Amino acid sequence: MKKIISGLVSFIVVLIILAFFIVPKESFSYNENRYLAKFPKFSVENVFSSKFMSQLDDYITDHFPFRESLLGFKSRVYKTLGVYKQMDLYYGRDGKLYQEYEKPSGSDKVIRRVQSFSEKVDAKVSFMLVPTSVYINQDRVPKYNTNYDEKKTFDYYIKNLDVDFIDVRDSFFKNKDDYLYYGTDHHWTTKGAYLAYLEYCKFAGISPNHYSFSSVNQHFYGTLYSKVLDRFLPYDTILKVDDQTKYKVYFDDSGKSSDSLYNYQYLNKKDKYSFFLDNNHSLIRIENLNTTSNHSILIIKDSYANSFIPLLAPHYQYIHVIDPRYYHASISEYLKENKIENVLFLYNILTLDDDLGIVSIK
Amino acid sequence: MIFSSLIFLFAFFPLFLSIYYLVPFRFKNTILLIFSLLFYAWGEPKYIILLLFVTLLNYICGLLIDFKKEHLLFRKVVLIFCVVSNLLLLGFFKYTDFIIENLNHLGFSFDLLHIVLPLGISFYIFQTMSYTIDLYKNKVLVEKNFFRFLTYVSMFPQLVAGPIVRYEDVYKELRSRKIDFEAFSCGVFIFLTGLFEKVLIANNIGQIHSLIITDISHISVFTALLGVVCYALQIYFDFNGYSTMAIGMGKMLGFSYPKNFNYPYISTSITDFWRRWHITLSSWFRDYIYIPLGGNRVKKARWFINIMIVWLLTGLWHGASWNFVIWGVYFGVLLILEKLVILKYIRRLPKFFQHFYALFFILIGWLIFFCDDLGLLYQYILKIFANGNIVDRQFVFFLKNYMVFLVSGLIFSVPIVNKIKMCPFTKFLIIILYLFLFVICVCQLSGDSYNPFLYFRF
Repeated sequence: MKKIISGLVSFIVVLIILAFFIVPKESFSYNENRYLAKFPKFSVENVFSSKFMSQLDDYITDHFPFRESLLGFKSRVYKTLGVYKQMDLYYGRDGKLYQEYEKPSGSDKVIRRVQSFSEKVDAKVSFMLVPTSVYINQDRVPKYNTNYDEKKTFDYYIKNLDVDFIDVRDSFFKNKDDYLYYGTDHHWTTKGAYLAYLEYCKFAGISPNHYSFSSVNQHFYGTLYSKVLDRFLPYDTILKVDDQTKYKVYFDDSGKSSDSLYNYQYLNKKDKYSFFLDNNHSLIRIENLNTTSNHSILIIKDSYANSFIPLLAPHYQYIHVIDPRYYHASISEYLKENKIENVLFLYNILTLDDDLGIVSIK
Repeated sequence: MIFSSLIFLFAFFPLFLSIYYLVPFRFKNTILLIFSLLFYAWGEPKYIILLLFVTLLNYICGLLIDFKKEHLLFRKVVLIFCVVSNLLLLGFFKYTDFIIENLNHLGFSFDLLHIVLPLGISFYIFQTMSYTIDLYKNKVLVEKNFFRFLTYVSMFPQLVAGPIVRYEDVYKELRSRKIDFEAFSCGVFIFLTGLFEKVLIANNIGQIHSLIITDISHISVFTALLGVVCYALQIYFDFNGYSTMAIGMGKMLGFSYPKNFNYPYISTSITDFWRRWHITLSSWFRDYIYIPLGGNRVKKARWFINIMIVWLLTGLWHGASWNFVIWGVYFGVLLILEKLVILKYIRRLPKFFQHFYALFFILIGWLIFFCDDLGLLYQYILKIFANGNIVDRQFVFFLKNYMVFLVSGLIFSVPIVNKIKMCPFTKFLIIILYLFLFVICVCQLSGDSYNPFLYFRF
């Protein structure tokens, strides 16, 4: 028995070593969005400071053959053995991944900043907080978990933030059996965004469009997948709404412009959610070429808004989109200069907590 | 470099082993020596000088002790010089900053030296000292070949974390040893067992303990208890796994290293526990400190002092921190109490109660051991004994989510598995299981550098 084991294990080791030299090495990891370690420079100095050794260690681990498949295999085996929480993800009863919601630590900072901003500007400010998938789908997440009670965070914001708060929770709970969140990504789907859109329309007194949805990609593995790399997870589908309105979209940071709210090139890449609004930009201006409306709105947001904005776009002549993580100038000045009468803050409750942009808006 | 890393498993060790097997016997020690020094230099190259110096010191002292066999005073002087130098070196590198910190608490203001603890120093200094002392007591023959002596001290399987191998254990094997496929496959099997203990059980159960310890302000009684139990399992499987890997590699190279653990958690008393836990360390203290002090063949008061000295030192050996001192004293007191009264009475009680008694005090011991700050220890004790929150969701979550690791930990802490009768079918199952676990280990290790959290932080 021992002889067979040692023979087979030695064989596996030799195979892996051969594979290490044969399998072509990637220089970039799409799932981690980072460059993998390069082979270290050999020099006396590097060796004596042991820099060479630690970098060689990184190089071997980063380029270990079939690294991502091995990790995915491990996730699946552990899940089968009953480890339903891996890293910060729960395997739900429906086979989807749910990201843990931890106790927030930055609420006061966010509230203070948004409050003083809204008092300073001469526009109608509203605030929409998107609940997490793990909260809406409580009954699909394993009962014993370490999630913080998200209701408390909502209550805290509603109590302490004195701006118009658009609460989408009821509508999300009512429709929780719909495809509101991706199973492998931390964003909401276009259907989730649509529910929020309906709530916003109700709030703003707009009569909403009854969109029909069509699928643009059915092989989407998002950021949550990237953590566990479990190939047994079902793919997500990316939906878009059918809308014939013509737009001109200006991306101020790159100086480019586009005729579409979508960038189809991303559908062939790993990061498919970036299809919406061409990923995050510091400032995007959307001009509606068809509308007779003369309203304008500024949306201060994180990436959740990217799939929401295309739904709202037909109703405004101008939509200005600012992502304060990248936009560092004064937003109140920008409002004044462009005579914008509406401001919407749109964030998901999870990443809002450690969003470095919103706590420094001016 | 640690054994449970990809670079060791797939680069260093296979390369070493293939060269080691290919060269004729008279070069095998040389290859072992070269790779051992390389292994040692991997993390902190400059301390290799210290390793060489300590080895040279004990080597020369050994030669001197052997040189004047009849001159007892001379031998004694050399031995004392050698032991004191060893201890000064160990003391300097391990305890200087601790002493300075405490002096500063008393009102002095010395600057800390920020000494990085040289890898494995506590282990190799104890090894070299055992050689010199044994030589003085004529228990071993002198080693005249410096490189062979250096090979003994630096052999990489046991260099950084034990077992503490004495020169007499490997004296013969350093000169001639049997290396064949039989020994190799036996070694691989032992090594894999250790690897699984370390990577699959210790690392995963360790996650629970570190999650609990990060914030103990709201934990329930059961979570607090689970934290201690997990630490007990983690440290056992970590340390035993490492020792087992060392023993397995020793086998592959033709050495038999002494056993370091013998199911410590089935002890029936603390005395029993210390015969089963880190055996090579406790027997070192017994043979080189306790017995020379007179052991138990002295007056009662002196006997207790001897025990306390040994346990104070055992505590300090584990680290330069007050909690280790308390930990050592705690066991010293318990052992004295056992010898005085407890053992007499407890032996009459049912076995179950004896196990419970031993485990209770072992777990308290681990609590002292992992609370490196006395304030934390106090808080933790309050969480166990004065806490209205008896059980909470977090506890059930840990239990359910990590069930497979906890259950394996409990099963492998007791000698059940080796009672399985071997038949062709069980053998087949074990082969499949070992291959599967090896693949899972590799999977888990390849995740060490995997960091998907960077993804949306861009």
